[in-house]
Parts: sequence; C-alpha cells; structure tokens
Amino acid sequence: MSPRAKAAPAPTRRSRGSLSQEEILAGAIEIVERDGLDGLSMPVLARHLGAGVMSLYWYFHSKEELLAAMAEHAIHEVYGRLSPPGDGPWDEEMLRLTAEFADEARRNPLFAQLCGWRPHLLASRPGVLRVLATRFDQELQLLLDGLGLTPADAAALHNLLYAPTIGFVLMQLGADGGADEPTAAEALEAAVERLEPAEYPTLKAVTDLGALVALENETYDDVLQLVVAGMKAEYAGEAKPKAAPRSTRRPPAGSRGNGRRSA
Amino acid sequence: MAASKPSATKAGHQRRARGSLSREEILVAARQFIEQHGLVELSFPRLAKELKAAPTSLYWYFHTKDELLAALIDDVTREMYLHLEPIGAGSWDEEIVEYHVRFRAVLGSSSVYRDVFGYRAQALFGRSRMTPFILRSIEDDLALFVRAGLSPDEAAHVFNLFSVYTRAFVLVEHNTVGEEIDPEALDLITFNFAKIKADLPAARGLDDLMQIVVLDDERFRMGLRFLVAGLCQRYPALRRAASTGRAPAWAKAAAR
Repeated sequence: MSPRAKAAPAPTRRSRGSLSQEEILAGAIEIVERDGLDGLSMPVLARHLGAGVMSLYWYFHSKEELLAAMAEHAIHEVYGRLSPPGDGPWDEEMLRLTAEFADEARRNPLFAQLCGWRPHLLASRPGVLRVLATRFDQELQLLLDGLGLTPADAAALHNLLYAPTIGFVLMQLGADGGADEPTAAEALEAAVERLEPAEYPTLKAVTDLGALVALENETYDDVLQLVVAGMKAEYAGEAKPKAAPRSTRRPPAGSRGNGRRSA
Repeated sequence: MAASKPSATKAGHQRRARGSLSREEILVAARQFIEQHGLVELSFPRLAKELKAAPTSLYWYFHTKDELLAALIDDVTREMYLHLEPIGAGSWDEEIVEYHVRFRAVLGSSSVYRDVFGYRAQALFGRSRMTPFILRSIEDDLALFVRAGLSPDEAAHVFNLFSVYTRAFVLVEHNTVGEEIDPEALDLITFNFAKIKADLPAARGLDDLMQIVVLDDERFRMGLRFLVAGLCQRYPALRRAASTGRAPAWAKAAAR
C-alpha cells in the first residue's frame, strides 16, 4: 500500500504542497501537550492542521511512524540540553544527572510520556539510538568506575535510578485534578480532621499532613538521595557485603576494566 | 474535547430503555473503559456510548463524574485492601519492604488501581467510603516508623518516599498501557545496538539489552533495600531498630 496511491483520491482542504513535515510534527506535539499521547490520532491531527488525513499519510505511513519521528525530535531537543557527565564522584554526578533529566522530562511532557509508555519508539531509529546509547554508556562508566560492578549490575542500578524518575514525572504531570477539586493534601487534611485521636494517634500527631502526599520535585530528589546513599553503603561502604543480592556477582573473565575511560 | 457530534442526538432509537441499565452495570463498564482507555479519557458521553445508553440515563444513577469516580474508587480500594495484608509487628525495615512488595503486586494486577493510586490520590481521601480504611493503613505505616524512633512528621515524610518510589516504579513497569511492545521493534533495536556496540566502552560488556530496561520483583526489592540503607544512614534510630541490629536488612539478604 503506497502512500502515494492512498493520498491521491483524497479531497484535501489545503493543497498538499502547503503542508510540511515540520508543520505536521509541530501540530502533533501541540496535541500531545494538550491531550496526552492517547489524544493523538491521524484524524485528530488532520483536523488540527486543517488538512485531509490522507495528506498526512503522504509523510507518515502510520501513527507509530509519526510517533517515532516525534521521539527523534524530542530526544535531540532533550539530550541537546543535558549537560555531559563530569569528573566528580559517581554519586554526586548521578544525582545531578538524574535531577537534570527529570527537569527536562517535566519541560517536555511528550518526551516523558514516550519514555514511560513507548520506550521502544525512542530507540527505533539508529541516529537516536546512538544519542541514547552514548549517554547511557557514559553514565554506566561512572557507575562501573565508582562501584566496581559488572556491566550488568551497573545497568541494573542505572535503571533503578531512571525508571522511577520517569514514573514520578508522569505522576506529577498526571496529578492535576480539576481546578475546583481539592488537592490531595486538602482532602487528606479534611479526612484526618474527622478522625478520633484515640484510634489514629500517629496521624493526628503529624503537623504537616501534606508531607504524606507531596509530589514536589524535592520529594523525589530525596528518594534519589537516599537510594544513591543506599547504593553507596551497599557497594562501597564499610559493611560492604561480599555479594550483592543478585546471584551473578562475578564478572565474566576479562570483562572488568576493559572499559576504562581513555581520558 | 468539547464538540459533541451532531449524530449523537439522532441515535435515540438505538438506545436502551432506562430501566434496563443498572448501577452495577455502569460501574463494570466504567472499569472496563478505564482498563482500555485510562482514567483521563472517562466521560459520561463516551461511557454512555459503550453502554449503548443515553448520557442522561447515567445521570439518573450518578449526578456527576465525581460521584461515579467516588463509587468506582470505593470498589477499587475495597478490593485492593482486601488483597493487601497490613503491616505486621516485625522490625521496620523488613515490614516496610514486604508491605511495599505486596503493594506493588496489587497495583500490578490492574491498570485501574494504577490510575487511581498513580494519578488520583486526592480521590482516596475525598468522598470514598473506604477513606477510613486507607487512613488506618497509613496510621499503621506511620506507627511502624514512630516505634522505630522517628517523629510523626519524619515518619510522614519517609512514608511518602516509599509510596512515591513504589507507585513511580509500577507506572513505568506497566508502561505500555495494555499494549505489548512489538517484538520486531525490539529486534530492530538489538540489531542497531549491535552495530554501535564497539563504540561503547562500558555498555559493550552487556550481553543482553534487556538488562538495561528490565523491571521485576528482584529489582524492585533491590531499590527498596537501597532506600532502607539510605535511611539507616540518615536516621541513627532507624539503623539501631533495623532487623539485624546494626547491619541493615540487605546485608542479611545478601548473606543468604
């Protein structure tokens, strides 16, 4: 099914030549920022652009292909702004890099949603994959050098830092209720107000109930602080255990150290 | 979102009689709708369409979308807390890890749970009849930390960190919203990755790309143990109260 054949008979509201790939991408991004990833469809996009659906298929054969192009656009934007890993201690560097990543994901909801829900699309084009893989490799090296782990274990830690970061940003982006709706903190305060102190002594003693439901950037910064401190304690601290919880501790022969940074 | 289709008014003859619709049926359909399309997409017109009923006949049972959501959240939380064994009387570190392992498992069993707990926390404390049960569970969590030596406010903060970590983890773990990732797409990524692997000094040591992205029970527990170990460092009281006296729980787990 060639797009040319599909596009030809469609009566379009604008002439085909007046639509550009950039314009389609920009329109698609507008829709996702307004209605989320689920709100995007080829017909919706066509209406948004005042064009016929078939003229979109001229540029993108499917929604998946459109999404892949959007992913590429988002990645170049986000990764173009992220600062490179520095020479500081691994824990400080990883905290800085994940916090920066979270900020970029907040600024770019499309990127956050793609990370969370269509991760395979992010890496489906070779050029983008190289951008992602190069960055990942630099951060993996930080963990390898800092903690002396196998690449597999370092990758596990890397994932444990980034996956919940994306999940948290999605929670933040999705948590907005209606304007007239009470916030979680307000609803909780009202609910605790009605409780019997004798039955709920601890809840009644909490002075800042908002802390129970906070989704502030600082909330998650603290999760990361503690997780990184925990990693440090587990792998580099005094009480360093011989074996990590995973069974495959030992690197395969020759795998350790062959990835030293040449700089 | 706003524009209603003109055809909707012409569809009257296809609608079902009002008496044939029940409150339960609406709730079941709403659950199915959320499983498929997510909570944000839920609206009376779209739900009515699924039920082949008029939107107004839904208003007969639920005056507002909030009222429908409150009823739905009652059901959802009742089920969840039925399956979620409460915090026990053991040491804080073991109890908190096992509780969140159970919490993750329950959240993993339905996208409706994840939608509610991930994005609509305010609804849990609002009009739900389950609110006292939810607060009971939070009280138990907080009491655990207070017994271990934290102040109630410190306990509230730490409680939220575990809650946030678990919900964020689960949202990404179940990331494809009901859709499986196309195996062909993964093959393509593996293929392309193999071509650039030589340029990646650290990552070329990985024999399986899934090591980068896999999220499972083992990794979840690992993250919880890091949180516990981090807390042991910050709060000496928690360190002293941890299951093995001075050594945090992960040390014991690792020694097995």
